[in-house]
Amino acid sequence: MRDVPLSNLERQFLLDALEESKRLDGRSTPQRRPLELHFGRVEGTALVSVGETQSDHASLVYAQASASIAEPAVSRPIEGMLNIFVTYCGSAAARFADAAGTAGGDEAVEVTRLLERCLKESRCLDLESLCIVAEEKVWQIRLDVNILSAAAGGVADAASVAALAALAHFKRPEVTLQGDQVTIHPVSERDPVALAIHHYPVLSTFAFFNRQKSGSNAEKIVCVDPTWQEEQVMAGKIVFGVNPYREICTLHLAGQLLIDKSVVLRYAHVASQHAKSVVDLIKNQLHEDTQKRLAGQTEEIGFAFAFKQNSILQNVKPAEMVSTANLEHV
Amino acid sequence: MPVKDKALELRPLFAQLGLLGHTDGSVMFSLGQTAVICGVYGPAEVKPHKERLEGATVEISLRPPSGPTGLQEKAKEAVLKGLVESSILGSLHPRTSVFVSLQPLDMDGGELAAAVNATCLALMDCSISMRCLFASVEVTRTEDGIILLDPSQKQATKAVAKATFVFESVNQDVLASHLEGRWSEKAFQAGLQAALDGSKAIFQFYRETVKRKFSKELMMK
Repeated sequence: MRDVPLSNLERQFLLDALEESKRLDGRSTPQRRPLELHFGRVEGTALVSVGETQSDHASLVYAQASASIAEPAVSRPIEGMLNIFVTYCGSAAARFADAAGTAGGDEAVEVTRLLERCLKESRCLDLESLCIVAEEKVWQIRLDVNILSAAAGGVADAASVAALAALAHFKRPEVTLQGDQVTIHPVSERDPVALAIHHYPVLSTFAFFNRQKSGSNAEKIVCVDPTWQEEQVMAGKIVFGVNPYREICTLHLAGQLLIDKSVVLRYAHVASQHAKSVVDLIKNQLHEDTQKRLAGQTEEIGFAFAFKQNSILQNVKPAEMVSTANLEHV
Repeated sequence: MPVKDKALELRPLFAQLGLLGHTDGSVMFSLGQTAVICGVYGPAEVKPHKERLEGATVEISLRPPSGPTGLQEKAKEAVLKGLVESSILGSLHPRTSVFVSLQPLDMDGGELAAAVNATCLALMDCSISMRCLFASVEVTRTEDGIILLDPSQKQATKAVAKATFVFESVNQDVLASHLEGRWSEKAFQAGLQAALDGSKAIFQFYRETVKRKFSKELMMK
């Protein structure tokens, strides 16, 4: 299925509005869309929404972390492995509505590579702690990132928050070693163990637009957290992967853009502030989730509870005894 | 042996319509803790090699929460395709496609039933013409012969047989049934009856959900 294409009139309107620092959704150029994070019932599941859900300007990403035991790579015999898989669901946008499930094509590849560079290559996850028996058995962490809604753009940023949250929330089974004997304890026997994360790099996208009147050497207009329409019209973008300690883990420059290094440093600073607020959000939500689990409030855990609000589009029905049939011993 | 207290209880239901703004219809539906997001596009353009003159081409895409799509998902897609094809008035929209995409978020028992119910709600949110609505419930039977209606994963650990029934709203006929394990005729009839009663509650929930959605417009009249 094809997306509704962006008309030339819309393009021109967008660019004209940006000349006056106005954006279509009413944000100012340095303003990000609100971010919401919810954890699921299963440990290692996270749902992130960027922008107001139900509007045309929202993105929704779901990430799940899971673990299995595998042989380590020959070159790294004492390290576990982290594999990231990004897929666009059929409902993400009309262009992905294909039963054959091409899983997203170019866009999925770009997001996968960004996440790999941001999370894998930055070594934010301690892989040595995932070793069970050197050269034989290690934990292989699988991170599935499903893009549920991509029509509004901002997918890479939302995906990085969801992926990090899923890793932070996930707990792997406890393992004990007695000589040669390796025992993997089921969850019912021993509490599972959280993953060791050194630092939290977060992706942040900045879109650059050429000014129409002056030449292309003039200072460009910059928008933080661009929407899909803005991405169609931009001259180029920079995606930063920065952690709250202001360490740049990922730098990705795309499009037809020539920028000065001072620009890069300036926006890296902005990206690190965003990283700090994201990490605070993840830690707060994680703390709340842990409290609820410790208090045994199982009804308040999970996605169904997280989305409850007073809206006419929502309907909730409590548990109900339904059957009056007299079911004898069958 | 008396039937246990919670044996015939339908878990709490939750639905949020229009969750995905750009789709024609969408819903986040949960049955207890089993949650699924469903998005529908339709009637929309169809690829020429897939178009049908008699009616709309229905395509279903169901993805697991983690891991690659496997046979389990393909089996559920086949069940859903049959349901959607028999319930929508596809003949009103020849040479178009109806695309349903499902993403389960949490699997805590009754996954197929939740997927079916989410599909129906999403089709209703899409306002596509339908000849009937459909609702589904799972029942399980333990070794002792106790029938559980809509059990969670924990409650279903002792189950030796499972059945998911799908009913339609006009005559309460069975549209689909998916059985696992051994069911004697007596147990089958009991399970069917329990599921039928459960589905009535779900149809009532659909009615209330749509009524709520249009409540502001109805009030203004």
